[in-house]
Amino acid sequence: MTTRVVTLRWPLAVIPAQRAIEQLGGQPNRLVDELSALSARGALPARLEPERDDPSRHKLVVYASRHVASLYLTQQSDGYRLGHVSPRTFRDEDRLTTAALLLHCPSGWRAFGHVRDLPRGAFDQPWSSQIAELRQAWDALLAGARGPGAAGQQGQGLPAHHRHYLDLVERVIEASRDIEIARQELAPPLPYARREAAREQRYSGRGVYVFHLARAGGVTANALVQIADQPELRGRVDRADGREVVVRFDQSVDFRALPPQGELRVLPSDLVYSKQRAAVETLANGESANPALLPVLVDGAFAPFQPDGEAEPRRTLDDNQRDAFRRALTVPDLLLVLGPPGTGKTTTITEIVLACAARGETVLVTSHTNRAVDNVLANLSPDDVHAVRVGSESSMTAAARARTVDSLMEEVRAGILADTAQIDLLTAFGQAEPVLRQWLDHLADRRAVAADAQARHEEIGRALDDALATLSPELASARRRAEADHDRCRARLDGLDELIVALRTAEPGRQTAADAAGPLGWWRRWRLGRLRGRLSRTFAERAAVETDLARVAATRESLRAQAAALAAADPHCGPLVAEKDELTATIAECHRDTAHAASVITGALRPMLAVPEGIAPDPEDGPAWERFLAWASQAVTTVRARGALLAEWRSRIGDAETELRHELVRYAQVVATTCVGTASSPLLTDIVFDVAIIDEAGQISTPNMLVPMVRARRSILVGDHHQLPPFLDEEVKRWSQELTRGAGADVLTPADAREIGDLLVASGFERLFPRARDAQRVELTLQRRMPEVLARFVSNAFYQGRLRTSHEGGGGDPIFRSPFGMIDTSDRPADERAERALRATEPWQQRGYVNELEAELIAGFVARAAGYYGNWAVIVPYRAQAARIEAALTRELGDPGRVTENIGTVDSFQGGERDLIVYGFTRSNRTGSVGFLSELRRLNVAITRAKQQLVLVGDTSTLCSAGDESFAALARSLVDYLRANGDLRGSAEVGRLLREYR
Amino acid sequence: MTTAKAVLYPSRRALENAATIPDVRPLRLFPVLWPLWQVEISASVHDPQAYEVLDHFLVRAIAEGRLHTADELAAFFSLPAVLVRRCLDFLAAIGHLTVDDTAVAGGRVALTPLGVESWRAGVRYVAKESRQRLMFERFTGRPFPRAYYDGKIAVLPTPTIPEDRAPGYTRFRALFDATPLRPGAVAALAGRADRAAFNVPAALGPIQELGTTEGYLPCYLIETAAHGLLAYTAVSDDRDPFLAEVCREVDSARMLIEAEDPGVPLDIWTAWLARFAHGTGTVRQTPAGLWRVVLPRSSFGAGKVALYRLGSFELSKNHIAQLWCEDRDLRRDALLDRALALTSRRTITTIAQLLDAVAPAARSLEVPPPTLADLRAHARATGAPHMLGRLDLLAGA
Repeated sequence: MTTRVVTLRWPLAVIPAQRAIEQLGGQPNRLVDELSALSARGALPARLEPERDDPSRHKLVVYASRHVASLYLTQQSDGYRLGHVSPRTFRDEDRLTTAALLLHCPSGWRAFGHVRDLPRGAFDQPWSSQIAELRQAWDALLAGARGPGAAGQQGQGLPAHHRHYLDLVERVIEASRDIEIARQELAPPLPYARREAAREQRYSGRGVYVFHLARAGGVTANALVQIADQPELRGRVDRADGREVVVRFDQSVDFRALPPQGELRVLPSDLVYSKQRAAVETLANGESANPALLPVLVDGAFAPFQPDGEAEPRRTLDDNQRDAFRRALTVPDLLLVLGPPGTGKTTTITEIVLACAARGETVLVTSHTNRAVDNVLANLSPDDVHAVRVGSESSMTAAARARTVDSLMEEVRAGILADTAQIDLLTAFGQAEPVLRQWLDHLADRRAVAADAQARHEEIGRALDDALATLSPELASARRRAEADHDRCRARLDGLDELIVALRTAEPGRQTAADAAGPLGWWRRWRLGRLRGRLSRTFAERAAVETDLARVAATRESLRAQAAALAAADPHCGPLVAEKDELTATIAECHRDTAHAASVITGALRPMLAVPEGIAPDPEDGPAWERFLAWASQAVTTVRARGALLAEWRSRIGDAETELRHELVRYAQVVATTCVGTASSPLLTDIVFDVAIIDEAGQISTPNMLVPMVRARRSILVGDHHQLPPFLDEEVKRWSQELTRGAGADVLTPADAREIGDLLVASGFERLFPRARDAQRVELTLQRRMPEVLARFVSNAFYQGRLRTSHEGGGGDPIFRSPFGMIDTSDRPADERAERALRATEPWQQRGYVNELEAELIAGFVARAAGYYGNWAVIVPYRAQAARIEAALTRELGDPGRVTENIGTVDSFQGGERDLIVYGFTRSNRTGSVGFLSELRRLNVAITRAKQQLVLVGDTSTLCSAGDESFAALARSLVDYLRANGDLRGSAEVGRLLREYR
Repeated sequence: MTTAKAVLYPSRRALENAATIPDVRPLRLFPVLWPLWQVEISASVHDPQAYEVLDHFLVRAIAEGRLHTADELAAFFSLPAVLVRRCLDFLAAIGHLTVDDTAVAGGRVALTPLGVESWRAGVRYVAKESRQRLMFERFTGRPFPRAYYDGKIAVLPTPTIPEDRAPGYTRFRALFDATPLRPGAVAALAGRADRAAFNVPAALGPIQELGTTEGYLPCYLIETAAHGLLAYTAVSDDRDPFLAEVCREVDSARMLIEAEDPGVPLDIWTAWLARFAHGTGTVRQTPAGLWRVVLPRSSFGAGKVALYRLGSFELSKNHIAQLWCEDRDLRRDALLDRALALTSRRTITTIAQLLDAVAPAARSLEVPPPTLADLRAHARATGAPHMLGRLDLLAGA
């Protein structure tokens, strides 16, 4: 329905035609009155329609309740002729619902018999059809009806480029997931011959069982498995030792439901991908905790803010760390902190977490791996902040396990139940309560007795006075006089005292005035003297009055004694007096009892709750005692209620079924969990975090990063994109490369394929950092881990020379003269120093390499040097080489346990540090092939682990002539640097030195 | 994809119901879109949630134990102070308590009226915003009763019916009324003691009006000889008393109907027969005034006119006629078919109810009402054994 109200100010004239009058049954005025009535309310529907005979002209059609009237303009446009009236029909309703004007005519309609009847004169109202206003309104009405409103605009959707970004992210997730599933489905199920109970540590009621497989291998720790064909019997592998597999099930499992023989199937874990997809969905729907997150990520639309200039961290931080700290406290959307190795990222993060928690914010501490999360958590002491670790217990360190919700719940429970002091008090009180109530009753009772006695006492007093008056009226009047005298003297004395005070106050002033020099000194001194005179006279008078008072008091006393003696002697008064005395004694006794009872009661209550000061009133104060009784009674009830409440609390807490976990997590200040854990733990579903701190962000892919970011109002990413990039399946990388080549099933533009590739290869951090404004990024530049000579190389090679060092100097090595050394095998013949290829020893069945010469050199060196350092590690690119060195070193050192955990590939040492680091390049060949050594960031991670000494081992001739140009350039600059600032030694010389010292 | 549902049942059903009312002779039927106002309102509602452990004990300690500061509460329950303070913050955020002077002993706490109410009820009330639409009839401004708010009832936003949702061929006509909704209408409705009967639950807090849009309720208006206008809406198969009352009070509908060209039934139905493809028939009027289109037996059956339509009503140019056949046996069969079809209705649970429901059809077909034996025989004869089962079920009930 489109309607529009039109106001026609002037009155409207209607001249009914003959035909119309007939149609209206000879009563046209009724219709005109109705038009006036309807239009007075602004409720007269009307339309302009083309005339049938001349469509270029319009007639005004008005709709009364029963009739529809067609009105035609008069010649002079001063009124309308009512040409035709018809009954209102459904067709009229249709016309009206399409478009209708609502006429509002405050001046009404009038009927005239003929056009010439319209009054026209200078003083008469002008009659106007006001057709112009009608036409204008009608046109506007029609324009509006046809206009854009009718189309119904679509709601605001996502801008195209945002949609594009989210689509790309979804594709990345899809690709990773598909590849993972394909890989898992190819694996055959694992049959088992036996299942039995396990002795693993329990953290909850979930079942843990051991399965004895028919064949060893095929499953690693942390894999998801299920009993084949029984999807509800699903769990995670805790341990896999050869043929024994320990599975921790998702829930309590009926042992009898586990088939004695059966098959375990390794499941593709869809969890990660479904959580990533859910995060993208949340972002698309604008439901992320920060609604502006998508523009921030895609467009760099950051909000302006001021760092908190006043905030101070608890520990001393260097300039950049403090800058990061201050920005982190106030940034409203996203802060990026670049932390090269050794720059104190963990310290900074700890300070940020503590400060945010102190401000009442809910903090999420998260990272890609459990290890990183546990690392941050270890620095947050329970004394400083209330933190909760959420996740799969078997993936945590022991220290982190102590801070999971379950552990926390046990701790809280134990704490509550152990604290028995209060409950003991309250129980004791409960036992004593009946006695206390009796005391209250007793007190009330004594009050009542005292009140009665007091009343009677007064009654008797009055009776005695009356009796005395009759006995000896003169005595009575004398007593009254004495009383009056006494009062008068008393009053006089008070007045004199006041005067003395006033004079005394004035004296010092006059004294000073008198002492001052000046022409009027004599007058002032005279005044002073006058004052003093007055003072002494007043004193004298006062003494006199005092004497009078004493005299009058004595008189009063003796008169009273006389009266008492009289009364005692008189047979009628005697008993009254006796009774009066008795009552006085009773009252005093009652007061004593009352005070005693009050002290007992307050004494009993004082340990229980706060007793207001001076609660026990004066014995005389009746209403105050009422209040005391009310208060005491209320207090006893309150203490009883507390006792019951506390008993119920302890019982509830003691009941193991009581579900406190949700609340403990909700009221924690800090929640620590992995990125995927934020979405997958049911304990976290309804929590929105005020701030999320994502550590090692340089290692986290964009989809993984989105999962915690959509749950937090603002995020702080801490990482280093010059270190290891997100962990990638080789297949995913191949997938993205295939896409770029156009072999994929989907039709993708090269630009799209490139973008997906970028999203796969680069972390979210790496993509955001270069594009962020200065306000949103901080670079930590002071490193404290590596010796300066090493740090300078790393800084120039990877950090654009921006890294500074604060280090006391390393070294102390028996062989090398610099903390940065290298053993160069290029002095040996080619076949001696060459690598040896192995098949499928590396992840994803990649080819492995071993270098015997390097292995022997490294083993020999470490055996010699290990004693000089607190700890050491050997890092090599290939697992095969690591195994080789392990074997050699075990032989040298003889302690396999110590050796295994200190030799590995780069991935095992990410984030760690050692006093001595030995890195063996391993590749040595004629073709300059270096394989994935070309990933320079891996080298960066490896060599930046060193705290005191770094020793590289490799074939510089191969390295400097590598096929990969950027690697070769780095190798050449490395060699030049070592020659200039470090210590580059030939392998022959080193070998000789080692043999000497063996 | 499900097919779109018609906005209203076919007019035939309304006519059959009208015909069952004794002494009522339907003359014409008009499908109408009745105008109404839809007002969107917002009100706060207290959502009752279960207390958890900590929050309930803290609230009870404040109310029953008269503890007043956060530190006191922490000491009382032997809990870490930080935990207690965060729980109190949560309770303050949902409006259950106030925390002042946080510097003093962790803060003084006091329950708000909402907090006290929740404590008394043992249920954690959380204020939530509830939005809904209220409907008001446009001519009288009366609120529609609850029955009209059923989701199955179509209320259209514009006076047009989408083509795939029209219940028949006759076009629905909209009514026009320009009076806006009275400003105090919503407030008046909110103030009524019986407002729950108009879909305004008592649990709603103070109501705020957000906006008014128009709506149209499809209905059938049946003009009768002596009983005024009958109204039928999607609310039920029976007469609609609400709209009928409005029609009595407000003349507009009646006037519009009266203004429609009355037409000559004989001509209309003769023309209808001329278009009829399944045989030739005649037009007759009963002594009572009801028009009938009398068709031969051969017109009924598979592929032609379905047998259940015998005795039912046809609509042409708003006029009503009953389909008839002189063959009494055929009419009896038609009645028995109908009776058996009724057994599947949920409201029919006994034989007695079934026979009652069939009686009006029997009257209108001018055949004696069937007995249980007749029904059984018919079921057997027409080869519908599951019907026997249903009859047994009803008989046993």
